Amino acid sequence: MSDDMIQDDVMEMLPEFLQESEEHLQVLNEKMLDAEKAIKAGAQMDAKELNTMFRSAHTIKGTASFIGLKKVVGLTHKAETLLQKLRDGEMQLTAAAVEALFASFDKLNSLLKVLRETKTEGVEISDEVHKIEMVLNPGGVPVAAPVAAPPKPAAPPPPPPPPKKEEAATSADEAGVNEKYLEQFVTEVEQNIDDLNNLLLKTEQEEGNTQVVHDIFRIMHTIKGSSGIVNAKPIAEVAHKMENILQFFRAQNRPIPPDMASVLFKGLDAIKSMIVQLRKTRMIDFDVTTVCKALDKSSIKIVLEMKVAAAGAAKAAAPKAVTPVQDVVVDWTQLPADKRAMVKAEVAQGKDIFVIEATVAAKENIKSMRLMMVEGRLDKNGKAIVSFPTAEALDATKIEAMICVLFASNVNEGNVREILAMDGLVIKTVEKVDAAFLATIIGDKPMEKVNMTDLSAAQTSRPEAAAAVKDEPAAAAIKAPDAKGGAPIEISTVKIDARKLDKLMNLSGELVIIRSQYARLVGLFNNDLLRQKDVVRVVDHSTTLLTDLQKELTATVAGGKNDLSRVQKMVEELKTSIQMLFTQVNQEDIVDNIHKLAETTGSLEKTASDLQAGVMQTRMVPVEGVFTRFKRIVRDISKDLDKDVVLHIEGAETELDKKIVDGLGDPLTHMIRNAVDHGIEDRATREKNGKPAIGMVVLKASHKGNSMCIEIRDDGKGMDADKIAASAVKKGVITEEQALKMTEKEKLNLIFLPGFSMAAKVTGLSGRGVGMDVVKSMITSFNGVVDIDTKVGVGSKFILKIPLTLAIIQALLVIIGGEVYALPIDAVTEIIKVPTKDIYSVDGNSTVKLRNHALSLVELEKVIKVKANASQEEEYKRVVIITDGENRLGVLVDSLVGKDEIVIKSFTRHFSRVKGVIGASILADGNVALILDPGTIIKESR
Amino acid sequence: MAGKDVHYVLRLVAKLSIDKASQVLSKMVRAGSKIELEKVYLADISKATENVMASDRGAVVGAFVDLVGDIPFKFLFYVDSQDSMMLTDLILRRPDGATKAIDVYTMSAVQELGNILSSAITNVFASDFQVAMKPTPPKMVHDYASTVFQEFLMDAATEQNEILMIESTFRVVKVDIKCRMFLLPKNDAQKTLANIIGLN
Amino acid sequence: MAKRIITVDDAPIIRLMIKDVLIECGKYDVVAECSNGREAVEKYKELRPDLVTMDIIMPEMDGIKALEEILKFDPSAKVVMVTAIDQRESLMKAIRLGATDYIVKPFEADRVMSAVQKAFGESPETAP
Repeated sequence: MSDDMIQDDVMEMLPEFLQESEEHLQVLNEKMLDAEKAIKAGAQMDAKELNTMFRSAHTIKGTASFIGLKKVVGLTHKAETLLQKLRDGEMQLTAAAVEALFASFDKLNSLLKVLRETKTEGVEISDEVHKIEMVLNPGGVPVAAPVAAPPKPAAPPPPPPPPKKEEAATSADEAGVNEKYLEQFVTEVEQNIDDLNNLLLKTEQEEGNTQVVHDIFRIMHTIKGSSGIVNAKPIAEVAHKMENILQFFRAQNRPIPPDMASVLFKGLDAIKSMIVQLRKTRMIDFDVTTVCKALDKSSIKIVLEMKVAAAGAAKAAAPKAVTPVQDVVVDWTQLPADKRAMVKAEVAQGKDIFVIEATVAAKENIKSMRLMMVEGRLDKNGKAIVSFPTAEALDATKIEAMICVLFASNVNEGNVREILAMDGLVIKTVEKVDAAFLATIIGDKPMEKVNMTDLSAAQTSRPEAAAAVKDEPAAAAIKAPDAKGGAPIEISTVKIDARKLDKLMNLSGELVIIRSQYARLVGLFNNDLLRQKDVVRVVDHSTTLLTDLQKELTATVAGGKNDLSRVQKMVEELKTSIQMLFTQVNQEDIVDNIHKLAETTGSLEKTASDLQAGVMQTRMVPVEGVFTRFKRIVRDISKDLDKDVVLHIEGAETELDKKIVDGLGDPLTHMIRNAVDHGIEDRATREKNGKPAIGMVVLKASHKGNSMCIEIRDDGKGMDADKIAASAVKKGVITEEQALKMTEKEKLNLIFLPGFSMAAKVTGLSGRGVGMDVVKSMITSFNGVVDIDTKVGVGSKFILKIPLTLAIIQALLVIIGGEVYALPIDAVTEIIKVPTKDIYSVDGNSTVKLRNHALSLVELEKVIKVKANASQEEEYKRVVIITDGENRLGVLVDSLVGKDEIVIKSFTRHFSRVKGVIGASILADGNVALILDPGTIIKESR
Repeated sequence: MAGKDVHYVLRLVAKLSIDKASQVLSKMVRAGSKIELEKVYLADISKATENVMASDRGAVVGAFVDLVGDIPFKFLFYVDSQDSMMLTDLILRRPDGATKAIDVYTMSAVQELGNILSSAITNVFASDFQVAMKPTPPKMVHDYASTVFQEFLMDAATEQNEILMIESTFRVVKVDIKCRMFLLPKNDAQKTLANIIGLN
Repeated sequence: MAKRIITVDDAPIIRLMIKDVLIECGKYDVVAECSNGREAVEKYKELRPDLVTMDIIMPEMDGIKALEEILKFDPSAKVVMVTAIDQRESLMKAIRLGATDYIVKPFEADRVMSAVQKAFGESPETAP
């Protein structure tokens, strides 16, 4: 329905809106839970908390209105109204109100979900709206008498003790408010505030309205003025800051964006509070620091945005990293149509066409100046038709750079050299183009749609350091994920903690320094060690990457953008480049400068690592974001099942990569539901067994080394391994024989098999088709493992272990069949040397006894498609024992390389068909290591 | 913006400027120059002058340059009188000891070094911070270090007791010459710096 | 016949360096040395040299202004800027006004030489 559709131009605001609203919704839910507790305890909720809820609802409404989400607006408006009345003491907080609000929050959640998936508001809200209305206007029934003690007055903080009259009079001149005009002032400003409220709301609702900005400014200005006259300093201060912000928009004739409106609302609320104080106590006792800080921040943000926009305008055309050029190879037959036409025209006038190639000296800092001078001088003697490369690419090149120009004129070759003689430039060739080639250049090719400024079709440049990667096909494979194609990536934004931003900024600064050191080194190389062209090239490439990275980072941070994925990519590229550099540097045997280079590379590496960690860090969010909603879920389920269960959360501040946090939502939900549903017994059973009446589910998050651990623990009835096995046999998932052979752990892990559900009857909750197998695969997709620990009658514990980042892992590097492979450290439990004679065969499988347990050994080539182990007649075999959380397997390797931190570049779909391999990584020596997936290997070996 | 942010940016500015200055010095005298000291600190005026008196006792040849543009700075470069003659020999490629007096060439050697070093710093501002800055013609002095330093601080000293200072020492290794360089952000410089924080 | 050159820089040592290098090859005569832009314009009008080397930062009148004045007087004047300012803005200004070329300080002495030769259309390789 077109009514539900969102306008295209505000579509880009949707992701951010969705994310922010989800956060606000969490706050609403949390506080509502607190409110419910309060009612149960016979108390009322603190007005401040109610105000927080009101503001959350209000903010969601504001942005939704801006985007045009009518249903969200409608729903939040009702909620906001009710919350406002509750806050101001006009209504009592009752169970009915709580239920109505909870219902609206749930519906809002659904709305957000549907919006996220379909970009439309395809959900009905009338029921929930009605529910709230019923609470607001109970249809003639007078407002319910308060259950507890009479409510405390809402809103402003309790008035300070009445000031002594004399003091007020004498301090009027300095800090006190001038009494004489107080009454008039307060009345005026009260009116002003009402007007401003309405006008600000108008800016939220009428997006393009610039006239209202002028009105708001005018009123603000008046408030500032009069508060100055009566010496109401704090009010004047806030008004002044608000006026500054408004002035900007007024001067530019721009409407006020929602985030600015929010901040202005804050200011307005502060002023309102102070006016109320004035009216009640004739004094202001209000701390404006917070509000002023917020207003300042917004002001600075505006200034920054302006400057970044101005600076960025020039760069806007070329957001991707500019490739430095050397050895530009131009295919003159591939010129765009307009250039061809120009050549044709010049030839028609009898002019000769020359191809001019020259090199710009490395130490020229502003190489594009030379190109400009060349074109300028040529134009005085003819026409410079087209030149390569672009000014940006030239300036990005720190080493000697080549330029090519196509020139039309009547002068001869010798003249051209004379004309172009200048400092910093060496003319390589000046060639008159012969008739035959001219024809090809002009050639009547069909008009292709070519961007006028995009001459890249004609220009190619020899691949730079990237080509140094030895294994070409692998390199191509690795580049693949970066290429376009495939589903468009959904950008999810992450709100970044200010401290993290600071850290990134600091690192960005250090990059600047290191970049300059690099530049210096390149300069030294050019002067002293011209033969080290390869090293120079890589250093140059790294320097360029650095420059771009640092600019990108700064722009991202300053502009308040939150999408760091591009920065992340650049950091990875940079690391790779540095690693290669290190290798090269270590291979050359030279001098002093190389040492310096190694030092700089070292510090650069560290900074790049820190930067990477910093960027990763910004993607880290506290799991609290995901965990708090579970409290609500537990409450709902326990109500439905008539059990008493409380959820305890530990370690909510532990941080995880946002993607994982988002992805964990569903699996955890399911497991928690299971815990409440199947785990916790009903009241009667618990009493009988001497357990406390209230069931306990604990959700605990913690860091363990490079992984994050999440535990879901309950004090319920525990899991009976034999019962599970029996059920599995009954379902035909396993045979009785197999069941007999299984260990307890193996039996427990049967629940992770597809189609397995322990529910005796489908309770409508857990049994709804989402089985533990899906949960397990969700966790595995994060390279995580899940473990079960349970005791019948006592309780169960599910332990999830997830490596902290998706992109960098600690790996053990091994050599098998002459190739290097990487095994995630988390999956490696032990590395052992086994005497060959101790290996015996059981059922055709190699096995060895390890501390009284049999350990299966395997040669990787027998399990997945890899090269065979080097056949070695040795006394000992090296074995790496891997685990998938439940089972262990010993993998025979030729030799160990060591531990390393590697960047995983996962394969595209194309390559992921290779079983057992989940990605690849470029090692410091330039070799490519395939990353093995322990889970698959173990699976395939059975 | 917090004071610490301004300080951070200043440290960045200092590092880059000093780095570039040492490169340029090396190039000019055709001999490697090491950075022996680089500091950014809030200087107590009297203490700072005392320190200069203590470390640079004799007479020096110095160049004052006013850096003008978006962020005004004051710049001072000086070298010991004896060393200044040696510097002149290096620059003019004369044999050691050829320059025997603080003549017009010695003075202008230090002058030009002041010009080149301060220009290099403004180049850094332009390329790394997109801040437009230019040096003005240097003013030369030949006097005791403490006197030179006091003149350098003069305007600032009348307004505050403490000033933000960027200080560095270069040593031309081959001939063991010590050069000193000071950068003083002028009063409003700090505010402007605060506005460009986060930009490049 | 030797080409006549005026060097302009407020630092005597630079004028000396440039003079030494130009005179050494015997083809150039330094007919005047100026220490500021005003002097430079005066001397140019008076002596009509074949080329001028011009610093930018100088007292009384800076090199850009002097360049402008000289070119106004003689649009065919050859002026090579010799400056420590390596900033696009300044250099562009000079080039757009009509400066022949620019060298950035600190420079190798022979760069001045080759820049002057090039300004005269003598490429260093073919110079006698």
